[in-house]
Amino acid sequence: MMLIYFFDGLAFGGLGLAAYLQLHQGSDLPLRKNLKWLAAFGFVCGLTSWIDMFLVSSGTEENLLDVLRILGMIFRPLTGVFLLRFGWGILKEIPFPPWTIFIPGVLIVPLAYVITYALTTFITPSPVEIPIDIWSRYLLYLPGSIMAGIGFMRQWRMQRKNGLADVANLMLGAGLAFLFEAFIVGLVIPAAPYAPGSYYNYNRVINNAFSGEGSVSMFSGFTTLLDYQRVLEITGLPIQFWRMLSSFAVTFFVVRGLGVFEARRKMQLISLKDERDRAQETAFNAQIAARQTAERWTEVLVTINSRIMELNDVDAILLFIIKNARELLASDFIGLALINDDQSRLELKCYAIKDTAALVELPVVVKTPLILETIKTTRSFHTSGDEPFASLENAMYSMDTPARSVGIVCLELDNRPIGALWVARSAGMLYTNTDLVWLECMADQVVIALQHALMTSQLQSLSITEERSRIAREMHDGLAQVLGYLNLQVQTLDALLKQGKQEALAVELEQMRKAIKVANADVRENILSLRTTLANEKGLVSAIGEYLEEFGIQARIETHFTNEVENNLRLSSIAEVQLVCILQEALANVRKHARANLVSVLVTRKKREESEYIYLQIADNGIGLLKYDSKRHFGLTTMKERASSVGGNLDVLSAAGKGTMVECWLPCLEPDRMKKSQAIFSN
Amino acid sequence: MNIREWTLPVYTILTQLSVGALFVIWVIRALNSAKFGSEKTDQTIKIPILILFTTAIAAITFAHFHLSRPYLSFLALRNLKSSWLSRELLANLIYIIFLGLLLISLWLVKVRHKVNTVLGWLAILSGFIIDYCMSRIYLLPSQPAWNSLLTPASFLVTTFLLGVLTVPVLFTMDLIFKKSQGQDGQAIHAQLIDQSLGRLAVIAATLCILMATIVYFQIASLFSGNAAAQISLNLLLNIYQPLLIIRLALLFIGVGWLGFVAAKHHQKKLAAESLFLQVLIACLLVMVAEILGRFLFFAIHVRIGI
Repeated sequence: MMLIYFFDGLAFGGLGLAAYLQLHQGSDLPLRKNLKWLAAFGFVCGLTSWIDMFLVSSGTEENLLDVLRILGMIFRPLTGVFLLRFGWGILKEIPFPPWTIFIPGVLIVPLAYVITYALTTFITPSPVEIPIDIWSRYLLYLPGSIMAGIGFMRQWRMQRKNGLADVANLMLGAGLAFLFEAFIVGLVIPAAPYAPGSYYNYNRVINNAFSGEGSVSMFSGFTTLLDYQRVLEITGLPIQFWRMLSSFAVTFFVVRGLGVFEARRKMQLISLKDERDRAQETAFNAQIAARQTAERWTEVLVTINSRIMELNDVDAILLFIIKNARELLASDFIGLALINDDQSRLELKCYAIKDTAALVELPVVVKTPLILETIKTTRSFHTSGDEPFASLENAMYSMDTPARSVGIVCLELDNRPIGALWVARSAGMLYTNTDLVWLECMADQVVIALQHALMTSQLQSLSITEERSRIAREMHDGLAQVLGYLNLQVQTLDALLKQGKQEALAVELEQMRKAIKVANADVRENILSLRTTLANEKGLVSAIGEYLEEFGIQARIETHFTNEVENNLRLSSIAEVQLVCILQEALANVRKHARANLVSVLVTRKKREESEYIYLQIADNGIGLLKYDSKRHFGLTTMKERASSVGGNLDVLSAAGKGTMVECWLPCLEPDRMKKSQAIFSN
Repeated sequence: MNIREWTLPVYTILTQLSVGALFVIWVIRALNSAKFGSEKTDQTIKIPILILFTTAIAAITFAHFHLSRPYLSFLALRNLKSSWLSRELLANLIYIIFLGLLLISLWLVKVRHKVNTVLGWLAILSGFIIDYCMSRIYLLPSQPAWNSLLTPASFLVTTFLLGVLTVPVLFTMDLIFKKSQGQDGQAIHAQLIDQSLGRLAVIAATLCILMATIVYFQIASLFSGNAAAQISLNLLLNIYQPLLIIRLALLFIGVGWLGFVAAKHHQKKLAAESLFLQVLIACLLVMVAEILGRFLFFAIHVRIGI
C-alpha cells in the first residue's frame, strides 16, 4: 500500500512539475493560462498521497501521525479547490454554445441540495476527517475532474481543427483520464453514511428487510461500486490501486499533451513563414500591378500630349482624355464641365460612360452640390461613404443608377477655376488619394489642351491681322500712290485738253501709261505673294524656287536660285512663314528700288555657336543703298523684326553702285521636334 | 435523515418552487399584458414556463425514490376519499397537465390569450392545492412538531419565497439567451426585469420576516407542547441548532443580497442581463436556507407512542 501511495504521489508530483516548467514557455494557447492551477493541483495532490503513505506506515510516530492527519485534512480540500479552479479555467477558455446559459440555472437546484446535504453531515456524530474527505471528493474533486475532463475534450476538438491531430488525441486521452479520475476519486468514498456512496448499504438493508436475504436489490447497478469495500470485492484490488492507475493515466496524457505548446510554436513558425511568403508575393504582385498602372497612365498621358502638340481638334482631345481616364480609374462615369462665359453657371462639356464618350450638344447645367463645392474650394475631393445621398445627386449624367462614390478635381487656368473633372461609381470601392492624383494629372491635360486651343486661335487671328497690314501697306505704297498720281494726271490732262496742247498731252499720257504699268506690276507681285502658300506638296524649297521663277518673269529680272540643303529645312512652322515673307519683301525691294537686272537667292545650312541655322541670302546687282534710313526703308525694319521673332537675325550689306545683299539666319529645330513641327505645318 | 428521506425535501421544495415561480410569473404577466401586448408578453415567459414544467416533472420523479416500489406509485391514487397523499398526487398530476397544456399553447399551438390566462390560473390553483394537501399530510396528532397551522403556513411562505427568488434568475437567464440569439422582445424582457426586481425584493423581505416569525412561533409552540414536542425542541435547539442558525442566516443574507442588487440596479441603471450572477447567488442562498428548513422540519419530528 505504501508503494501505491508513493507512486501515486510521484505521478502527481511529476504532473505538477511538468505543468510548472511549461508555465515559463510563452504561448498564446488558453491552456497555458491555467497551467499554474494544474501545477498547484499536482504538487498538493502528490503531497497528500505521500501523507497518506506515512499514515499507513506502521513505523510512524503517534505525534507525527496527528500532524499528518491535520495536514491531510487541509491538503485534501485544497487539492480539490485547485483542481476545480483548473477545471473551470480550461472549460471556459473555449466559448460555450448559447444554450449553456441555462446550465447554471439548472445546476442551482442540485448544488443547493448538495450544499445542504454537506452541511447536515457535519452534525452527524463522526470524526471530522471523514466528512472532509468525502465532501472534498463530492463537492470539489468530482466537479473539478469533470470540468477538467470536459475541458480537455473541448481542447481535443479545437486542436483537431487546428491540424494538430497527434496532440489532439493526447488531449482526448487526458480528458478521458480526468473523467475516470472523477469517477474513481470523486465518487468512490469510504464506507460512511453519506450519499450516494451510502445508498447501496441502505438499500441493501431495506431490501433485505422486506424481501429477505439474498434477494437482488432493485437499485443494484453502479451504485454498488461506490465504496471501497465493494471495489475490493469486485476487482480484487484496493481502490488505492485504481486511483494510482488513474493518476498515472492523467499524468501520462497531460504531460504528453503539454507538447501542444511546442507543436503550436512550430505551427506558428510555419504559419508565419507562409504568411511572410504570401506577403512577399502580394507585395510583388502589387508592385507589378502598380507598375502596369503607371505604364498605362504614362502611355495615355504621352498620347494626350502628342495630340495636343499635333494641334488636334480640342474636342477630340477632350473626349480622348475622359474616355481613357474613365477606363483607367475603373469608373462608371466621368464628366467634364466648364464654367460658362459670364461665370454664372457650370455646364457639362462632355462625359463618358461604358462604350460611349460624347460631347453635350444642348447646355446641361451641373448642380451637384459636391462638385460646386469642389470648384469653390479649388481642392480635390473624394467621398468617404458618409456623404448624404443628396450631395451626389445627378453626379452621373444620363445614368439611372445613383452615384455611391465620387472623385472630383477642379480645373484651374491662371489660378482661376474654369470647371471640374469628376469620376463616379455606382457601386464598389471608394476612390483613394492615389486615384485623385491621377485624376489631377488628367485635369492638367484638359487645361493644357484648352490653353493650346486658345493660343492657336489667338495666333491665327494675329497672323491674319498681320497679313492684312502687309497688304494694306503694299496697297498704300504701290496702288494707292499710283491711283493718286493718276488722279492728278487726269486733272492735268483735262487742263491740257482745254488748252489744246496736244504734245504735252501725249507726254502726260505716256507717263500715265508707265505709272499704270508699275501699278500693274505691283498688283501682280502681290497676287503672286498671296498665291504662294506653304501648303505646297513639294515643300518649302520648291515653293521658293517656283516663286523666284515667276518673280523673274513678272519683274523682268534675271534670277538665280541656289539650294544647298535637302528639301527639309528643319525650321519651325512659324519660322518657315517668316522666311517666305522676308524673301518676298526683299525681292519687292529689289524690283522697286534696286534697278537691278540680276538677283541671286541662296539657301543653305550653317553652324553658328554650336547651333544649326538656315542661311538665306538675297543679293542683287543694283544701285545699292546710299544711306540707311529706317523711316524710308520701312520694309527692312519689318524684315529684321520677322527674323528676330523666331530667334534669328537679319543683316543688310550694301554699297553705292555695288548692289545690295540681305543675309538672314533662322535657327533649325532639333531632329525629334521636327516631326511635330511638320505636323503643325501640315495642319 | 438518511438518503432515502432526502427525496422528500427534494420533491416538496422543487414542487413549491415551480408553483411559486409560476404564480409570480403569472402576476407579472397580468400586470404587463396591457402595456406590452399579450402576444409579446407571452413570448417572454415561454422558456421560464418550460423550465418550471421540467422542474415539476423532476420533483415528481424524485418523489418516486422515496418509495420501495416506485412502479406501483399509481396505486396511491386509490385512496382519494381518505388519504391526503392520494389527493396530493392527484393535484400534482392536474398541475402537471395544466402546465403541460399551457406549454403546448405557448410553444406549439397558438391559442387566444385568455385561454392561456385561464390555463395558467388553473395550474396555479392546482399548485396551491398541492401545497395544501402536502401540508395536510403532516398534520398528524402523533407528530407534535408538525401538527399545527404553522406547517401549511411555512409551506406557503416557502412557495412564495422560492417563486420570488427564482423568477429574476429565469428572466435574466432567458434574456441573455435571447440576446445571444438575436431574438425579438429583448427590450420588453429587460423592462419586465427592471420594473419587477425592486418589487420582488420588497416582497422577498416581507416573506423573509414572515418565515422568521413562523420559526419563532414554531419554537414557542414546541416549548409549550407535550413530551414529544419537548424532545423535538431539544433536537432543534441542541443537535440541529447550528443548522437552524445557518438556515436563518442564509435566508436573511440571500434576501438582503437581492435587496442590495435591486437597489444598485435601480440607482445605476445597469443592464438587466448583468444581474444574472447576482440574482443566481441570492436564489442559491435562499434555496439552501429553505432546503435546510425542510431538512429540519423532517429531522425534528418525534412520534408520540410507537
